Amino acid sequence: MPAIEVNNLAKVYSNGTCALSDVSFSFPRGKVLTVVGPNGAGKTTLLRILGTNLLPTSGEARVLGYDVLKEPSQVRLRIAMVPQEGRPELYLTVWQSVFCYLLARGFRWKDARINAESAVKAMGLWERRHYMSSQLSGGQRQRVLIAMALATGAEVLILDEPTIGLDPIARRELNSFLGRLRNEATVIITTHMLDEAEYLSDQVMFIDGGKIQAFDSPASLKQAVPVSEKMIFDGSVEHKDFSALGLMTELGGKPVLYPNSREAAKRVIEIALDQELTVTVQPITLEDVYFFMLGKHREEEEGWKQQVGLTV
Amino acid sequence: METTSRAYGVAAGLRKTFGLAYAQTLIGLRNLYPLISVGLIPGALYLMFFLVGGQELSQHVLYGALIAQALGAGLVSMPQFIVIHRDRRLLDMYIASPMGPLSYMFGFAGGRLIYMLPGMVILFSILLGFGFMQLHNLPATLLIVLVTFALGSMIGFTIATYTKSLFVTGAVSNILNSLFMMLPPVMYPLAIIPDRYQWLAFLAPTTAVAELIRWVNNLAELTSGRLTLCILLLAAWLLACLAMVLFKSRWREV
Repeated sequence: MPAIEVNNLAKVYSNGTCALSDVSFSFPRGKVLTVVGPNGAGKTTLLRILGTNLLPTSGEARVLGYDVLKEPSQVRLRIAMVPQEGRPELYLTVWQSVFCYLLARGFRWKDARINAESAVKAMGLWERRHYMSSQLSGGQRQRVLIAMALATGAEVLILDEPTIGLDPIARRELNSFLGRLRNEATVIITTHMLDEAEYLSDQVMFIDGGKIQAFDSPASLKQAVPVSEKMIFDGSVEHKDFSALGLMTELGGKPVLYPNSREAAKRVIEIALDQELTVTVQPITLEDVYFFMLGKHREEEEGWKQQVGLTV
Repeated sequence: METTSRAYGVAAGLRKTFGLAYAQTLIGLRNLYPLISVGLIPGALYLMFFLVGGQELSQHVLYGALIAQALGAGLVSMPQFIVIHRDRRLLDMYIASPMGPLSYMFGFAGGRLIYMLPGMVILFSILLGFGFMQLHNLPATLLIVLVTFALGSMIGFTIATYTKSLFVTGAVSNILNSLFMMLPPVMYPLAIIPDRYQWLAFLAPTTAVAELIRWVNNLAELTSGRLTLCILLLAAWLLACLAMVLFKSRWREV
């Protein structure tokens, strides 16, 4: 039985906004799914429906075999959620936030203490367990919410942008922890950090305009793009020298070329050597795939995509 | 990590309610300013009516203030805190958990009791200190006060599940509070209203509550018929509000 099963799910809000349109997918247990998409794509709507916070307009969604509409109490027993932009109670300590949340979920006192201690330590907050949330930084408050969810030991964890506000080390620690949860729990995350989606996820879902644009493992998604590397120039270049060899764009102010083919890449290096340009060749990342699949492109970029056979 | 599979049932429900009530009580104890203001208001009200209306009228005000404290804590104060809970996205975490709307409502209401405490202590002190209430009537009076609080909490919770804005929540709650507290004979005796219009007063549940509190404390005489009416009306309101929480509150966003 899959962890998540969604069939023809749709959500239209009362103001007419169509947040999800005919979404269908299945996701196995004990894996990590990352949902990625631009703002307003429908990521949070999807997660809130799976978390039984929001009623869908039509369609069906099942979590661990239980229908979110007809059997919400069974679903809620087995999930824990960290919503987007959540904040813990300011006048509760770290310990009290986690412990009281577990009690409120029906945990016995002793079990709540054990789980709370484990989760607070896992989030690196043990030294600050007696600090009130008002005394913590934004990232630390985010970790309190994550500790609350982790402490439940839920079979499905739904985390909506959990790494917002976390420093790089905290982010890496959290992602490592979530990766280790694999096989014990199913984790569904949304994020804008595609680098963490790449190394953490078993499958990545690109969603845009309420529809699934792509759904596969990071490696398969990258293979779907007929370009395997990008070339980053250090300094300005003459676009006309390279325009026939690939797509020129920019990244952080630096010219970037996605070569049409391996031969084109070799030709780029030859020209770079001739002109004494500094160029770095890197394999494409999930961010590049996202850019190609979901980015709003200029006419020349669309033309190039068709030329190399890149279709969404 | 241990998980629980026994998150439903009476014992689990009590644990869930206690967990949230415990958290909300801790928050209340760490915010003294609202507690002080809630405690000062009934004292000031009593003094004002005592100076204007004398002792006889002020007794009605004292009992009315008891009802106002209890109703206000549930109907006005609680929904605003629930909306804040929603703004912090914490409500989403509770919805995505075995805690249902009833446990959440009772848990939150339990935490609000701490806010009622200062005002209640002052009012009961005045009532008992000045001989307006006998000690043996205290348990019955407390029971009626708690029933009023439960009524206000259930209505307040339902309001909070429909409104998303703190402003709208506060406005709706205050309108209802005025309708239940200021218009009906809560702060003044029912006898002031002409007989033929008294039935109108019983449309508000607080009229029945006020009559019962006055009857318990010998401030009003009720015939057996009137007493039965008050009890039945209160029971009907409680059941209706409970049904509203269970079936009409928007626990899950539409």
